[in-house]
Amino acid sequence: MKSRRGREIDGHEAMSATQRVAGDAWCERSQSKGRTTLNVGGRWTVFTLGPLDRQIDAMKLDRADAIDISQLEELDTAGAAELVRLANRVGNKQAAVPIEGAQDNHARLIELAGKQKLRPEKKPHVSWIMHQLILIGTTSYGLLLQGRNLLSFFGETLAVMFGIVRSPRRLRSTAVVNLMEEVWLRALPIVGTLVFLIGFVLAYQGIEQLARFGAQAFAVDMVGLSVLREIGVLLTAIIVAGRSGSAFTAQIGTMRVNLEVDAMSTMGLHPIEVLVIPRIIALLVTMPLLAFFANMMGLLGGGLATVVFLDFTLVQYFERLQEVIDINHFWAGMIKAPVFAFVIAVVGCYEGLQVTGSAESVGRQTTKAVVESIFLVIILDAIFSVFFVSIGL
Amino acid sequence: MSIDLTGISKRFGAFTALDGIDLRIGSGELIALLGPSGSGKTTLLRIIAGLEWPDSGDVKLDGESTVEHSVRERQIGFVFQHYALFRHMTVFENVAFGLRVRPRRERPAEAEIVERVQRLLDLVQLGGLAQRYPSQLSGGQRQRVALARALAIDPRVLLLDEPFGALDAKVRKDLRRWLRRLHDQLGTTTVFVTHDQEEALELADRVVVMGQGRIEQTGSPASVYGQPSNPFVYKFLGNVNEIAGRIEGGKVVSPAIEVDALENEDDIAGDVALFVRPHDVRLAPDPQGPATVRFIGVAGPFVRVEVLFDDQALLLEAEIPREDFADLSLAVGERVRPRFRRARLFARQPGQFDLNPEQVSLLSSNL
Repeated sequence: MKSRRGREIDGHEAMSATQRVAGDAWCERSQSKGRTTLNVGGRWTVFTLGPLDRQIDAMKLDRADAIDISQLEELDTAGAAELVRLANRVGNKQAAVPIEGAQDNHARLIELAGKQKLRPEKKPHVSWIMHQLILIGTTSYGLLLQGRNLLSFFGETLAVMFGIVRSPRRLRSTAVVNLMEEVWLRALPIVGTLVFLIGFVLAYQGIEQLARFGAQAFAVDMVGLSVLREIGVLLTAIIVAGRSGSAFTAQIGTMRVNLEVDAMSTMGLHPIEVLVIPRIIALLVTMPLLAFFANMMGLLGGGLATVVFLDFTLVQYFERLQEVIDINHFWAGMIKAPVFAFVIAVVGCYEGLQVTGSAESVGRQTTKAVVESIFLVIILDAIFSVFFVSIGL
Repeated sequence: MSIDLTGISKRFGAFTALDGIDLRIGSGELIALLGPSGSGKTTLLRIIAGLEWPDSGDVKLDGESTVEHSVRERQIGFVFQHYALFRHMTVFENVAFGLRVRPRRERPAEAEIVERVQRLLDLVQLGGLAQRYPSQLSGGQRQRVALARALAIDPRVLLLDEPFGALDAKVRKDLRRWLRRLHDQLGTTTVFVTHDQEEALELADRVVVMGQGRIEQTGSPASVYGQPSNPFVYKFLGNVNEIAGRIEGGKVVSPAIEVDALENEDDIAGDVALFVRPHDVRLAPDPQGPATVRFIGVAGPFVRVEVLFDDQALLLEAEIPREDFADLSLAVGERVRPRFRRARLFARQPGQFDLNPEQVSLLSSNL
């Protein structure tokens, strides 16, 4: 090995002087009767190919009619591959040039090398606009598919739920209660704090802006309306999606990775009945409670702002609320809570069941679940708003 | 319970996992599905369990098609490679789970559940660990809990997916023997999947060798090992020397190696592929021998010797018992004359003895 390396370096220097050193690879061009032949000889092995490549590049080859390898002393697979490449390069587009004068064993090696694909297939060239269009197309198609799958999962869970309504004993009540504690009781502090602060900020901003028209007192209307109709339930839904929806995906996902879901199936249990339904029911029951709590905290936050910045008393604030806010505003917000709960729970469980194989998949599906459920919640909220206004609620 | 599989096929996208599987498993049999990864053995097991549906074909349990049967009615115990224990439940609750979730009228009384679970835990020799959680157990213990959980529902069939794949060699061997005893004791029809030929040959009544979604051979461990029906089975069941040979008049004429017994000389003649297990190769030091020793590896109960023939086209691997090797006193570079104790003939596949990488590298360094 050592001596060969030494020769390789010698060979490189010799080649720059276009001289041949015995035992090293070389390549020459010869012409006779308008026919260009590349004469190839020496040792074409993996040890000599580096300098050989540079030499061939320096020759600036364009076309040749044949490659003559009768003077080749040694050949390995790398050398054979290089020969095949050379034959392709100097040939025209349709065919490689013939390799002539090969010894029997060399011919076999060259044939073997010729069978292999030596370069990765080129991607077809696509213009930038086309690329963007393709991207939009595949993404929309993916969204459609996802929508279809989600819808069919909605349907399946509804079917199982009706089955449970018919024979309620099949419901795993212990699990439901357990989950309720997790998604409701433990969520109270964070939901309460956040919505309280948002209510406070809303009222403060309202007072600041409305003061220019001397209409500060209307800040109370604004806080009441926005908290009850939108902010309270929407913020709750977003927090629940991030907190509980993702937890559903992660829990069910790890069980899938661990094959626990399959283990349940072999024991004759329906994964939707055991894993999904309790989660949906737990969220369905507790989300309105959570949203109600959020509404009250939001109003309280707004109240605190009016007390601090408007010199109201709390009693005045609530009297004013009672005057201007109709009970319908409250219902318009609350009615959305169970719908959002259902969407968040179903999306979370669905993505959990889609987990396959690895722990990495759990993370990916969890992200997907949160993004999807928040997206759906906001879309639904927009639809609700328009719908309520148009029916005059 | 007997299992009848007819014409089972399953595709995942462009990949054919199973391609027309026909198999009959008798009641009380212990069957091994043996094959390399990707041969479809796990998919087949999951189809029997009802966790996967075949694209075509039928699964009959005790002569009844399972299409009308829910997974629960199939009464199948399934043991997963990575145990799949419920992590938030104790060992006791894991085993009891399959009973507790039954509808009320089929559910045994609580006292009976307790008694049954305790009996099962004793059976798998984990009686004292009922209140532990899975994370507090070793791999072998977890696998036995998984087995107890599968047995709790009185399965008519026990299916095991590479049950010992994740365990170390020693534990694996113990559990293997223990499972055999357990099967003899309970007599449940059992199917297990493995890629370990030693495990399959030692444990099973019958071995089903699978490759690329097809059944290559079915038979008793002795017959599968002794009379492999095709080169795939032969190669999968152990190391092998593949030699291009020529047979004339029931004798090997090329390469010039003496063969004591040709296992199927009547079936094939002419240009053949000669298959020889390394432990059937005998070497004798001989200054006029046709080959030289190229490598000697002395680890384990056998000494592994590689010899290279002078025409460079043939590299032979031999396994020689330690004592015999000591008598031979071989050294690298010495000339030897190989002899085969027995060899098996197969028809040559197209391209089988074209240049393989080993030979290519030999060629290039000696041109």
